[in-house]
Amino acid sequence: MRWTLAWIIFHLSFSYLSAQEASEPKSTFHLKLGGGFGLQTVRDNAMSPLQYDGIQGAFQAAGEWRRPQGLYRLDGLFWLGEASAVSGGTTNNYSFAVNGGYLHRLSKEDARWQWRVGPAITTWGSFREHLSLINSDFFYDLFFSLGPSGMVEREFRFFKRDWFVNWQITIPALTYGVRPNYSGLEVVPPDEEGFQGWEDAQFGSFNILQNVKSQIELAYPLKNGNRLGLLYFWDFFKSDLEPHSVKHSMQSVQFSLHFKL
Amino acid sequence: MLKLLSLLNSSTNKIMKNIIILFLFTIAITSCEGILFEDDPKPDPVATFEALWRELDEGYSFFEYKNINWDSIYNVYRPKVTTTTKILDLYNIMSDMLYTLRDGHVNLEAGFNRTRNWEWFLGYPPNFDFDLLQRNYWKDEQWYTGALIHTVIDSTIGYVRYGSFSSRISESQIDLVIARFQNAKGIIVDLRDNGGGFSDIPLLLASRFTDKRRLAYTFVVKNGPEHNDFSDPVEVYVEPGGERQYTKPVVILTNRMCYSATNFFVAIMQSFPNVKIIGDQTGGGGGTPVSGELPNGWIVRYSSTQSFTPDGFNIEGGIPPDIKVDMTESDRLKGKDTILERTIAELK
Repeated sequence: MRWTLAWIIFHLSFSYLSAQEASEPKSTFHLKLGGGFGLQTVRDNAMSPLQYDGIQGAFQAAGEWRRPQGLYRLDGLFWLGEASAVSGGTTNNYSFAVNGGYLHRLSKEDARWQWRVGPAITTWGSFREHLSLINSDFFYDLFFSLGPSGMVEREFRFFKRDWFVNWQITIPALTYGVRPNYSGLEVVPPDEEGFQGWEDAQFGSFNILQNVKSQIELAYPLKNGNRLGLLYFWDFFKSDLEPHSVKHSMQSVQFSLHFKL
Repeated sequence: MLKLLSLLNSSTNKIMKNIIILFLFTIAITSCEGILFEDDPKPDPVATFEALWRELDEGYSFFEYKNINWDSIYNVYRPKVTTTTKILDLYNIMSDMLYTLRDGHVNLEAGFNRTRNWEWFLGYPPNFDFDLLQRNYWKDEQWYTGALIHTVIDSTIGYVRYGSFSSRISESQIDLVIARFQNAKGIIVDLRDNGGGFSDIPLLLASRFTDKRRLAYTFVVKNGPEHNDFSDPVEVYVEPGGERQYTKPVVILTNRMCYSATNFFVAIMQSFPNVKIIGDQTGGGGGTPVSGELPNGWIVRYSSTQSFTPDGFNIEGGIPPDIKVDMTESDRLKGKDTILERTIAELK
């Protein structure tokens, strides 16, 4: 009985996974939810001269609205975990990236490789709490940027199944950024609430943030327009925002379900 | 494997081959991100010493106030460090260098030991005897409300002992104590041997002893690498707080072990018209400490601000009492606390 039940569940699951839609409609919206893990590397001169590395838990919540001429994407990526230096301390890390944009189709509708370009708004927030430091133990990067984004995508058949792959690269060009001040202490009365870092925020371009965001996504269409997704995300930035420079990279692999709404 | 290769060789799967190449290319490029990060600084003794000296040079807030020539100190200690200096010797040299700052907020945490300069209280009379108080003054009336020990002395005087600002106290606990002594002739707040703690509690506690909004203290924060690079002064105010405030006479008992947050509390309270300080000068500690990491992973802590009373007095060196009293040995042998006795007489 147990084996019969297991076989039925396996069969139904396999049938669901192997069944595919004949073709996708011209306009679709997918909600993507997923999770995985990431590797983070940071050298924050506000915190330490040492490099900190660590494994992060990764989560994704995203939306993708596909129209005949263009594609609207809003990707929310979240990471949390610890990082440590070879001969130093340990930090608790919390990071997020919320990137949105419109990608206009450049190629003909029936072209095999679909090229798209458009503007993107990107947000990066990273918070590190150093467990061995006091008072000046909280470090952050907050960047809000605008820049060009490009994407190439195509559909293909493999093992008699339809697949879908895309690679998107975004380079923020205009940035509003916040980093810790000189001493790492807030210059306000101790009983005053709220985040004071905004007072030190700066507008700039490549002088305060050199950033590349790259993501490659493989999708396997399912029945009813849903999909299984595999995302590899890489983000590297170097900020020379005064008074402390920072270099940061994050790469993560995430599996996700794309629900057609 | 052969089957997979033959699949990849078929025309249909040339596309897949391209995509795999694209995947591998992307991963290969991003896996080489190591070249984007420079190597960690060498943790050798010279680099570690240099990093410590520079961290203090650019971040420590009291060079000018204490008239310390940090370059001269470098010239004394730097020649003692070579690339072959052993860890313990390096620790001792760096410890000696930090000792010249005469600052209880300066420490080097090396994992196996922590440097400290405790001259601010070891060179002075203790002026506090916990056992004597417990046996001869607190008696049966003592209450333990969180970290606050309170009792009634001579039927009319409230006595509150707060041993450490590192032990958090809640608003309701403070309110309970204030309510208990609302009809007392005066309140004694005994802070002797209180070495400090959380920086928000001094304001919270002081808010129960003022009838109006007052300037508590001002502070400046180091905001650049030069020794006199500081922010504009920030004014900190204390406002009446809690269910009720006690504005009748209050005496704060101090000794040289009153440091850091305790020093701030004394500075705030001293400007209130109903408050007197009796005992010895406080130990000081008027800078908020921050910390930094060195190339070998050791942590250095140091002062990064300066603080001033409303009339501009720098509190780093301690706050003199209004009435200077030391405990005498003869009183102690008789079971009497000289400072407390003097305070009781003052409040009667």
